[in-house]
Amino acid sequence: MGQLMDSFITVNGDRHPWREGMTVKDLLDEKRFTFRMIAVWIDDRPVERDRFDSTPIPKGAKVQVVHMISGG
Amino acid sequence: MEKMKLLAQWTYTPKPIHRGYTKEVCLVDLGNRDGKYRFETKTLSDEFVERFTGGRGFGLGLLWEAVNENTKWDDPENEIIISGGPLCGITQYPGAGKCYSVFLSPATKQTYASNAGGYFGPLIKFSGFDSFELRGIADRNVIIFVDGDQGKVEIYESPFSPKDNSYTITDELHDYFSAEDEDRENGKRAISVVSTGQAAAHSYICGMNFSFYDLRRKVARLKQAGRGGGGTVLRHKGVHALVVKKRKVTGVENDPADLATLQQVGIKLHKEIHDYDDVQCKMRKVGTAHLNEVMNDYHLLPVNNYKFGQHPDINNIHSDVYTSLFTQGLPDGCWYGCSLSCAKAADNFELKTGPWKGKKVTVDGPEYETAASLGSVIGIFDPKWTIEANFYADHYGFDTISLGTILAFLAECYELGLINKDHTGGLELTFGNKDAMMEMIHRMAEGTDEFAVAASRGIRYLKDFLSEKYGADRKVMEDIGMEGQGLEVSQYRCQESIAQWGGYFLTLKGPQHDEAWLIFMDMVNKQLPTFEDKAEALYYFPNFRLWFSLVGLCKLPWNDIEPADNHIRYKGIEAAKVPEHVQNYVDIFNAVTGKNITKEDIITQSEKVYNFERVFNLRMGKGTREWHNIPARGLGPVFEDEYMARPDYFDDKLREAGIDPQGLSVKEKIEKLQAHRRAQWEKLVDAVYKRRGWNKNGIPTLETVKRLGIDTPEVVEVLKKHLRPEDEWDN
Repeated sequence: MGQLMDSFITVNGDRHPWREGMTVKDLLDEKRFTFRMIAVWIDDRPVERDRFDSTPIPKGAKVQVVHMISGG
Repeated sequence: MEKMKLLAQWTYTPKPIHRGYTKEVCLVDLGNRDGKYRFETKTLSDEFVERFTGGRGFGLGLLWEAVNENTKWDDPENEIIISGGPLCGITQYPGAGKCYSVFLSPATKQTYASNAGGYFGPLIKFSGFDSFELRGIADRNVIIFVDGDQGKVEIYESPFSPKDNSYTITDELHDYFSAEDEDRENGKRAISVVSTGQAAAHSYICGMNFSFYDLRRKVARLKQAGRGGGGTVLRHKGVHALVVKKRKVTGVENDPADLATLQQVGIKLHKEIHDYDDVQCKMRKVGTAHLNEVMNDYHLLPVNNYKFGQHPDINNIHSDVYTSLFTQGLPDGCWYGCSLSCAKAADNFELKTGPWKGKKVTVDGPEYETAASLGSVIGIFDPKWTIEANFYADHYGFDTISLGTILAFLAECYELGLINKDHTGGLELTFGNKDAMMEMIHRMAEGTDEFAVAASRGIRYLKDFLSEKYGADRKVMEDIGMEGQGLEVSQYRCQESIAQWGGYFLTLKGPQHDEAWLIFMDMVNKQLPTFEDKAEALYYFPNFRLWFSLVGLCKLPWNDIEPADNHIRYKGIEAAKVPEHVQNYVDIFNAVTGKNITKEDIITQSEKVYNFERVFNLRMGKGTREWHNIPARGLGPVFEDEYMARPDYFDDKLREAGIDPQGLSVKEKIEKLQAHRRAQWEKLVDAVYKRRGWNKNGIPTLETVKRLGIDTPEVVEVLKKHLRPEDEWDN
């Protein structure tokens, strides 16, 4: 049961499948979060935008992907 | 152009600006079709300035005094009041050339405030006036000219025909009023023209085009106060154009109290734009059209009258395509000092249809809104078609947002069989039919027949017209007609964000996105889980954003560029507020005015005007809960093809609502989802009204207006007529 739960992360409160080596960029691609003005926090720690592709997401992590507001 | 006939002239002594204000208003009264023109300078009291701050606030305060509860949009008493605000015209901080036009709207029959860039706002202020107030109806078509250098206001007989349109009028007047300048090009640059086009003679959705002269392109460009029908009011007054000329423009025209701070804060933002725009929103390359594919990715792009949020042809309108169509490398600011430069343009564009067929023109935009309104929402994914439609819409005077949403409504009515070729004058008005849509735009401008005229008056008008004239199903039209309070919805699909239902439909003037855009925050980020959270956002953001309209600023430099560390320095909703930029606004307001406001005072300044406008609309017979309504299409799927575009998604939404979709037909699922969401809408309305200090009927309470210091006898009198004990909250 514990192992099953650890196969997921939460993204903005929703469960999302996790895999070994998954980076922030991988997650954004899977969620099709394509907006550039995005803030990502993993377990309450912010991730710099230029490190999205090199920052791994630990299993069971609580991830917040915050889209800023822009446009008209 | 031949010499124009002078009808009336008035001279005045331009009052210098002190700390962002002249505290003077230029009133031009055109009489009541009797040729009795009158001019007056009004002086604004300190109390008035304190209550309304500037811009839209001044317009509303002045309009309140001009009208009574029975005034209609086409009465001589209705006014157009154009005001910049205390920061309007500064050159140190990007986006400071905005002004606001306030009037009673032909579309919504209540107050409307519409903003525009271009040079008119700053130049009228530098000519000595915080507000330009236009009253009455002329006995003939006229041109009004404010000469800020000479201290003169003149009224000329218009040399233009009723069929002349904005680009013609604007070009010729830039030319005419610069004729005596030794440096002709700089003379043209010292001029701004406000005009509309021929459609305004019968349409209710015409805006006003505000010009600025582009020295590099050597053409006059148009920025629109598009929404709400201000252009319709202007033409109804017999005014073919307002013109201002003021040669002297420096960085200190506003007499700032602290120039050093103003410069310092401005340089900081210029540097951010220089360093980060290319990796953030790319405003300098493509303007707000950077959103095209983003909106598609998140199911927010309106497709086929908001039925769908995505389309397989999205790559045809990708921002990269628009980037390639816009001329690059030019400083496209619509006022001096705006390095965000989002006023993009397509040059040497050859028109393929209409009265200017074959002519090469410079077309302003399209911005995101027009890429969607004259594009995806009518099923068209052809940028060159959109650019042509954008040009003619501006030229004729149409608001591109309303125009597109109306055409989308008609296309769906056509495809549903509510109307047919017999009604449309032979046009097959289906989604994606480019030739028919373009022809319809030309006919709406011409007022070719009663169908075209009805279409040009908006969806609310059309619902009456089509049901009464052709027996079209009223219930279906109510469900699919994307309008609120008589205003067509702008180009975001709000169905999946409860907070954005409010951002669109719990607004002062109708579903325009300038009050709140909460879709990401609510639907994607899930930062607003409770109705109270949504209500808090629908309190803060409308009040914060309204402030731009009080002071003369553009919203875009607030959050279409952000400090590099904003996303890691601030968490959650705080990051979305862009706190460093909020502080910039506090600093530049204080630097110009010499006052000492805080970020909390920004909200209070806005809240005063927000609630005043709500009371104003109550006075005009609106402003209660019954006018805050949302169509079924705004809440979710109406027809089976909409549900079946994302069946798993909507099934999940039913489960989240405690409804098992197993065994239900699609029709039943839609009914249950609609019923659930309608109940959620009512909860949202309650929560928002409570947070805003309004009663159950959406009326500000006496306590609220007292807290805000807007409890004048006139305001209290209006409230007392409408406040009922049964509308008070239980706790």
